[in-house]
Amino acid sequence: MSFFKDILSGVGSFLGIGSASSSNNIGLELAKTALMAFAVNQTNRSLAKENQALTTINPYQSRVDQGVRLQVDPDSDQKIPVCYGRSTLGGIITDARLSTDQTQMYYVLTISERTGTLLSTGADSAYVFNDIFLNDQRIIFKSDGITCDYTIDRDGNKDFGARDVVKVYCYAGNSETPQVPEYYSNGSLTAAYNVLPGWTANHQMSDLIFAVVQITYSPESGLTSVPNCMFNLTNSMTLPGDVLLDYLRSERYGCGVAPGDINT
Amino acid sequence: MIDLSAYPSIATSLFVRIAIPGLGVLKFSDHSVPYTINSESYTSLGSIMSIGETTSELKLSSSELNIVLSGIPSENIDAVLDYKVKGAPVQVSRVLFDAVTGSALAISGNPATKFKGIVNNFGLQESYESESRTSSVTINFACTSEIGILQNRVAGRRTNPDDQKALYPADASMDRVPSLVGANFNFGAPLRN
Repeated sequence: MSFFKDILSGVGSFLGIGSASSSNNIGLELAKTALMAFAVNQTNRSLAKENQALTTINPYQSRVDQGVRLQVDPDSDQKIPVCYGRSTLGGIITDARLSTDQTQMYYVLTISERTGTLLSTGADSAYVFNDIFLNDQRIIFKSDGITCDYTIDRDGNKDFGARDVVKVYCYAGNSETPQVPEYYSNGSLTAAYNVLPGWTANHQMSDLIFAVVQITYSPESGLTSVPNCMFNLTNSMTLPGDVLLDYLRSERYGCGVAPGDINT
Repeated sequence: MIDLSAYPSIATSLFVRIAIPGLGVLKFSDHSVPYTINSESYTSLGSIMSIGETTSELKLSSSELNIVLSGIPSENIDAVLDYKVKGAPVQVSRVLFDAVTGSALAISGNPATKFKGIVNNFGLQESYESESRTSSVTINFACTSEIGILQNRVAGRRTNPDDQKALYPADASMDRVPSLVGANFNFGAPLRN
């Protein structure tokens, strides 16, 4: 108790109240509280050190990324839209594949039916992919027109998170009609069945406008799930007469009226 | 619009043309005497034929029309049952006649097409007369206009293998759509040996 008394007298002196007996009691209580807090603090620090030592026994095991479990949402009753002129459409997921090493995810997004021949010119419908949006941000591609360089939001802010993580392969007609978005060129485009694992020449996607979106697993980019993709594309069939005739004639998506029944 | 102000009295008759595959073209009217339109002679059925009301609209709309033929001998019913009446094209024309002379009015728009469509359905109703010990049949052709046909037409390719293969039998692009529902992909997960 002499130790506490010494401390007490020191504290009392420090506070300038050591001469009063009641002040001595208060000082004693303060000293007791301070010592208890010190002891608890020391105990906690000791326990924390022990816990840290336990968790670092196998650091490799705790750092392995377990990936994400993905589910896609296809709809077997959804009708494929028909696009005339310029429009922005989302894609319908019609296939999804995972690479063998599970680091590449491929989505097939069916965008539109391919329309027929223009009455006005006699040419087939031609499509141009004007812009492609990823999670509401416009994709700026690298020079190959496939690999994402960066994205731009509505305010013009650039986001480089998707760089080299996202690739978009565009097709206008079937699997063997690859093309790149407007203002890009690429002389070494390949068929869709050469891009998607598990696809063969029987995977033709006949008379369809579609895109294959490839995503490399990258938690840093935040793209670990199915992204929301939108496609702004232009169909060369824009004249009302061409459109009306095409829609009347088509048995695939239109009225299927026999050509002989339409006076053109 | 047809100007009929110069005629003190007129009469109208409806002429029905039904082309039944395999049977031929049935041509009949509620006119009192046989009449020829576009080189085709229409049989006069008079009062045993009745046609439901038709509407005239500027805007295209779907409409239905019932054509009823009554007093048909039951032995002639086979002609209805043995052939593909459903889907047969139907055209109904109206001709305006001078009520006094009985001749068709020589004006523009006469005859006029009142209805164009197909036989959507038909019904038979047999009536037995005990006194004469005979039976006769009433046939009701329920017809749908071409607009109605277009409205009811189901077109468009759905994203499933059935629709895809109906159009392109060898195309396997959408074979996996049903199996993708509920499927899990362990994206980015380490491979386990």
